[in-house]
Amino acid sequence: MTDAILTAESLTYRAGSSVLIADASLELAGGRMTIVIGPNGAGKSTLLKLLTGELRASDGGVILLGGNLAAFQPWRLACIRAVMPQSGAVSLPFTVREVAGLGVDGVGRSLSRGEKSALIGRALETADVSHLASRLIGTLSGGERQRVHFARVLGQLAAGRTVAERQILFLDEPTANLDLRHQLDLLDAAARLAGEGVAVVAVIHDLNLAAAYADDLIVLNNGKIAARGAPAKVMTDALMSEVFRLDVKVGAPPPGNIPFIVPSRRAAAPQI
Amino acid sequence: MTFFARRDGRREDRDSSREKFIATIAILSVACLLTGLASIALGAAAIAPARIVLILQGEFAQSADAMIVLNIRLPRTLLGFLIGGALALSGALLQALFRNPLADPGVVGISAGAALAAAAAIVLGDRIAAPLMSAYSVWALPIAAFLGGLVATTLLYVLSTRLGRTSIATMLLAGIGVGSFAGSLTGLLATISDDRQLRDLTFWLLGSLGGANWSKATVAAALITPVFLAAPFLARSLNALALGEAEAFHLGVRVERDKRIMIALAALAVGVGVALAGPIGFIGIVAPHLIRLTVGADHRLVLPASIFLGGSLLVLADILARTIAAPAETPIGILTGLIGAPFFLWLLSTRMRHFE
Repeated sequence: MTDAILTAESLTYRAGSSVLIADASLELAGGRMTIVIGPNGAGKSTLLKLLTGELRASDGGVILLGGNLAAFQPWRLACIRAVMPQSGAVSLPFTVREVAGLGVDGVGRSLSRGEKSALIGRALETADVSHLASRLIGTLSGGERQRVHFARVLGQLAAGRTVAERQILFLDEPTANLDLRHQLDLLDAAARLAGEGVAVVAVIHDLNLAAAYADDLIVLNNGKIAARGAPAKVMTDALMSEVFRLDVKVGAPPPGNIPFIVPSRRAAAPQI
Repeated sequence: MTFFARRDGRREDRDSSREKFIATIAILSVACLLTGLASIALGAAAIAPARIVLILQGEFAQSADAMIVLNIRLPRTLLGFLIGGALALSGALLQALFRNPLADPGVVGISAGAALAAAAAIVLGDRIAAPLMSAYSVWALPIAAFLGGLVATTLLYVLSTRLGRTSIATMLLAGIGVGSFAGSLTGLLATISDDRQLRDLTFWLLGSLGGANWSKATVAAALITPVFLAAPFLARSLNALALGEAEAFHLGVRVERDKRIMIALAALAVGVGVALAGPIGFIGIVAPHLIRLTVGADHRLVLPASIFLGGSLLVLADILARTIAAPAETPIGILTGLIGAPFFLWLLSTRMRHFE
């Protein structure tokens, strides 16, 4: 791919004597949604931290827009990429609007008050938290709080777009606490961003959601990239059974009369 | 007024932030003016506010009242505002830095470190560098206390930082250790001090604005005003840090650099306060809390508002300190503790749910 926004070359990350990520190479291209799956402890979050610049690789490096990731100023980096974290605890009694505004405030230094306010309003709308705007963040449920953080990263990307054209959105288990509809809402919004040219990277545990939304699936196992490609190609009985240490059949309904519900994405996959 | 907190814990949207900022600072300025006037008016000899205004304009220059106003109460009141503001600001900085709304210069051992250094200057200064101490004592104590606070904080930082990341929990626990150690050393100093030093030390360790004069007020203004002016530049970083250090980095904050600046500013503010008035508790917790409960947690407002409120609170406490048992003075640290501690516990029991 020549359109790579970010290229990771044989990343290795060691903590003490254990190797958390081993020789991982990948490229993130604009307009594509990359979803990382793998069992607990496979190194998904560590891989994300290496790609966002939060952790420095023991070996190998990350090239962002032709430059060394480690050499970027935090502010410049924040214009290019936004990161939605796994845990969303906020230590002070901020309102929802204030938390969502943190992304716009930090990155959009050159924006007017009106422009900032409009960006925040749109982000709150997209994340379906407008009605909570004046609530204190500590009074929300886990899922609501997660949507507020989604609004925050949406605002950050929107503010950053005034400076940086090519952007990346990192989502670490963004759907973990959400109900089915909000899971789809969030991933639809992420897919729309991908449609606008953003490279989206998400860690997702739900394999059905991953299959429905991924342009590119990365299967991580024991810190190594076990497979990469289109979901239909990567999700085979053999690989899934091996990686998740479970006997699974892809596409087979559960035996007996157990009802099962698999969400399918509503928005059509963007044409690439 | 609609921009203040409603009972259900909701607040107006950020869009009204400029109006809220102006209204809050205006109200707090009036509060400062009133407490300031009361502080100059009240005491062993009461002086009418109208007469104070005339004296400040240069009338009655030879009267005893003018002497009291200009040489005693005015510097004392200014010192109270500066130190109260410094304590409140350092509390707000530490609470954001440690992501713990209960953090206080006392809790993380900065006050204890500053107090140890200042106590050492009181007790040992005479013996080691007597000429130097007598000539520069008004600067020596604040600078010693600042260095003591900085050493304590740096020690905490080194103890709790691994691979460029600071663990808040470790830092708080290390603060307890550093604070106890510094407290023990201060106690040790008390045992080797002579009678006069011990009296100085004891009264000073309880906290008092009693020794205020123009030279102390000048030193406080010279060292604290830069902190007041510098801190608001950190407001955005402090807001982002409430989400966590990694999240602040993702939002574009230079986390390690900003943390160092915050620590240095907090140590300077606490050090000067401790040196000139002793370790006065609870202003650092109560003032920022009250501000957050009424106008929200955005540091662009919390930092300046805490300075104003902390200043008023300390001046108010000082008025009580020199009037309730007049002509004797009650140590101000006892008063802030008596009023602040129950208030803090009340805050804790009723409002903790908002802080997670």
